[in-house]
Amino acid sequence: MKEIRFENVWKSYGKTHVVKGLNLTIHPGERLVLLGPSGCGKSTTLRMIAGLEEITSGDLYLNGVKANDIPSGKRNVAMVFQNYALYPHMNVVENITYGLKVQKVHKDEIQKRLNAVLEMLQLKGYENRLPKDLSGGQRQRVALARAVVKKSDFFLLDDHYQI
Amino acid sequence: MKTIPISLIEAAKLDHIGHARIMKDIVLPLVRPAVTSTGIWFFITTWNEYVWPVLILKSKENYTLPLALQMYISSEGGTNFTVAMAVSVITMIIPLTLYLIFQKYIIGTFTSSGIK
Repeated sequence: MKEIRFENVWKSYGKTHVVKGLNLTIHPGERLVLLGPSGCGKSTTLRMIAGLEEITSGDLYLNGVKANDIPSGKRNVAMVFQNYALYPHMNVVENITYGLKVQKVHKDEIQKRLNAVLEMLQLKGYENRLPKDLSGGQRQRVALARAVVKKSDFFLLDDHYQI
Repeated sequence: MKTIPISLIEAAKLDHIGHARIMKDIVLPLVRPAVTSTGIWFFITTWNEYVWPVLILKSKENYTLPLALQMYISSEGGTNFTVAMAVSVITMIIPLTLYLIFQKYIIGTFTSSGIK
C-alpha cells in the first residue's frame, strides 16, 4: 500500500509547539514537497516519519499500521540527511552498501544494486574515494545512492539540495 | 565522541543497525585518532616521569630510564657525557617508535569530513 498518514499529530518541545495537529495522507506513488520558513517543522515532520523523533500526540500510520512506537530501523524508511551524514572512514562503496551488508543481503544482490545506483547517479570511477575526497555534489549523490540502494517503501529527502 | 555528528548514528539506526555494531563500525573508528593520541600522550608523560619514581624507588636496580639518565649527568657518578648521550638515545627509542607507528592518527583526524 505504501501510504503515510498523519492523524492529528502534534510535536512539542516543552511549551513550544512545532507541529500542530497535522492531518495528512501521502498516497502511494505521490511525491510531496514541504515548503516553509526555517523552524516551521519540515525536518521534524520527516524525522517523525523516520522514527528519529517521538510524536507528542496523535497517530502516524505507515502502510496502514500504526507506527508511533515502531523503531526507526523497522519502518523501511530511507532518508537523506541535511548534512548527508556519510561515514567519513568508509569509501563510496562501503557507505552505500554498509546497511545491506549488516542486514546480510546476499552478495550478488548487493553487487547488482550497487552497480545500478552507481550507474544511475554517475558515481562510477569514484568507488574507492573517501567522502573527504569528493566534491559537494558527489557527496550529495553518494548520500542519495545510500538511500536508493535500500529499496525502501518511503524516501525522505531532508533539504539535501541545500548548498 | 561528543564531536561525532548525531546524524551518523541516526543514519545507521535507519538501517536497523544495533548499538553494539554502531559502536564497533562507526564510533570507534572515528575516535581512534583521538584515543591513540591521548594514549601516546599519557604513555610519554608516564615514561618521562621523574619525581614520583625517585620518591618511591629505593633500589637503583629498579630505576626507570629518566632516573638512570640522571645518574650519568649528576655529580653522583661524575658526568660521563658519552654514556649519558647513549642513555638519552635509548630513552627516546620507545616513545619515538610509538610516535612513528601512530603518527597518522596523531597528525590527522577527519571525523567531520563526511558531513556538508
